[in-house]
Amino acid sequence: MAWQVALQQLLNGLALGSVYALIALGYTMVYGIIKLINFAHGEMYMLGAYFGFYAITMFRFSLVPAMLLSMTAAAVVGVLLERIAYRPLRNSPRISVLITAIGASLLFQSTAQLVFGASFKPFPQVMSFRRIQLGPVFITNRQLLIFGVALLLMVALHVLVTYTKFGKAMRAVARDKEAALLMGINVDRIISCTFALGSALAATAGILVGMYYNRIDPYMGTMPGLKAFVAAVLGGIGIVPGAVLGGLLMGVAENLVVTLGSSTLRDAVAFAVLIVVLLFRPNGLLGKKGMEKV
Amino acid sequence: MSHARWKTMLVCVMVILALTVPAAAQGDAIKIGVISSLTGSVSTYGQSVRNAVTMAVEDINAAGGINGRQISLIILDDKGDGTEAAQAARRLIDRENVALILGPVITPAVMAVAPICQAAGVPMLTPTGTGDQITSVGDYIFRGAYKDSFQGRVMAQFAIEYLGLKEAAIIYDVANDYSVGLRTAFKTTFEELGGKIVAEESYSTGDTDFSAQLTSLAMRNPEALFIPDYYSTAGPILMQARLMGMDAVMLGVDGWDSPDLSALAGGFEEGGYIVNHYSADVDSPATQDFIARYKEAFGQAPDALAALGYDGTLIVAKALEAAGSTDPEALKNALGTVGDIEGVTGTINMDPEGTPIKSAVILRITGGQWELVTRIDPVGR
Repeated sequence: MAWQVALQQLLNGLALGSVYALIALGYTMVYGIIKLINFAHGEMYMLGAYFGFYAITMFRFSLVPAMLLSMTAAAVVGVLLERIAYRPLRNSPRISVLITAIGASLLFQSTAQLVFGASFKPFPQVMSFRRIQLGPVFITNRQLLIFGVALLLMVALHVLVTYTKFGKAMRAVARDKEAALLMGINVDRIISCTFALGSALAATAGILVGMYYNRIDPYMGTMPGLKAFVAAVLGGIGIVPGAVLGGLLMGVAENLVVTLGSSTLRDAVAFAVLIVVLLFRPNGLLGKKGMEKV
Repeated sequence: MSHARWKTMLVCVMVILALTVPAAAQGDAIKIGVISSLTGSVSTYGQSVRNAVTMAVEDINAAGGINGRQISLIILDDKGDGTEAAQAARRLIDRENVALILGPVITPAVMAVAPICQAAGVPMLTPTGTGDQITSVGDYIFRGAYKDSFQGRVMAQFAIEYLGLKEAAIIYDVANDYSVGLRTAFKTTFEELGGKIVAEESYSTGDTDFSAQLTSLAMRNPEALFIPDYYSTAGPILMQARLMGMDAVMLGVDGWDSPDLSALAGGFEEGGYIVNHYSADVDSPATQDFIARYKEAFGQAPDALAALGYDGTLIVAKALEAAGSTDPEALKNALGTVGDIEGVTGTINMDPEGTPIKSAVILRITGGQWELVTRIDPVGR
């Protein structure tokens, strides 16, 4: 019996971890390209959930169109955020941009509270409830949805970054902005696109969580945002596969702590991981020494 | 100070006195401060309470007020948060000089306000707060609802004696006094009556993922699952529990009573039982009249929070009438002694300890409606 429980918990952890991974990707891409920890990124996840909510309840969209609409809307918000709040500060000290990011995060939360209301909203359940038995364990169709969508998006992102011209340009900007500019790459546009991509991924995570947990509120982005940030650091910030690995590990670790220890330690474990990583492997699990450009 | 300045000051003081004295002497309206959770995670509670309190005050004012004086309400939102509630209380006491505070709605917010009211000597009555510790803050603190120890005991007794259950599991919020208090009361009584708590899991306020806890609970296959929390958390737990394959009887508390429960639980609340303050099925004229008028005014059926809000206002009105003034000392004494109030939730008799003596009901969710199962009278206190 015990190993079945363990397996089931592993599955639950991976579902949660996939959500963290989707958010962590945005953190890591933005960091990779402009060396900014975008603390307003968790808010893209929250906004994504609300955009999905309104797409389904007001415009009667089904799940996939709602997801696409929400991704697009969040991408636009992400691009605007970069254009209005971060671009004017591009040559300022990094701390100024970081503080701006925290300010933007609070602005999004309060605005969301004003516009969407502070009450907890049930997410419209456009899917039936099903459980699929897989030998000793089972998987719910919502978990399956999370795995499916997360995997699809991660593969798509990988292909985009590795095999396309755009991906090449992105990597070039990450490596050396000035050189990329000299090679005729439109750096501003690449940065905008990176924000759009990251925000769209976070928005998808928001909708998936809405479907999975059936509850959204204007402050839902804070904790997952911070945990996804830890996941990105754990995997090695700036490294795309690292964000996925970090996210999955975080999800599993959290479920493990709740199962074996106490639920009150749930949030503590995430930040304990951050401290340990910073102490012993500051470049993250997949990071190489000297990755940080001097 | 020069002579001219003295004169100016004197004039100023006289003008101020002239402006304020008539207002005080007229003294037409009795100011009551209301603190309610109009937004936030328990917003449906606060909106119900506000609706019902406003309705009750309109009724009282239309009937000529209290000893010829009208009641005026100052309603503030605490978002279901202790810090906000404390700020609201300070404002009502320091700036608005209210005679009494009605509210807040949930126990954590009440516990932030009660010490302030006690220290300032302003009587406070929470129409809905059930935490045992509320009324032990002091002699100025009252409530219009039953206590959690009573509620938890009633549910355990019902589970064993009425449903014939022998085993139960509990999932509760370790960071909320309300949830912890209910869990303790339920567990104690359930075990006293020969039942067994087979598993217990906990989470913290704000958590949304319960899959780890529910997986552990589902493996124990308990006959019943007790979920002592507000609808905004109980709803998602109910849904996730059913998805995890739990077929236990779901047992709940007054916190489940909200029009939003069904949407948050994805319809999986069906068949669950709760302890509550009132049932719409009770045939008393006071109850039926209230339900009809509330529906007409607000377009939805009143929940228990609305019923308690209305009754809380009745208790306050009766106490103000008995005290004959807004003197805090007299009002406090009246609040502890008024009785025979024909409220929506039954006949209310207040007790100097701060909690009314009245009965509770058990409801079952059938076809999305709360149906009265049985009525349980308080045995002692």
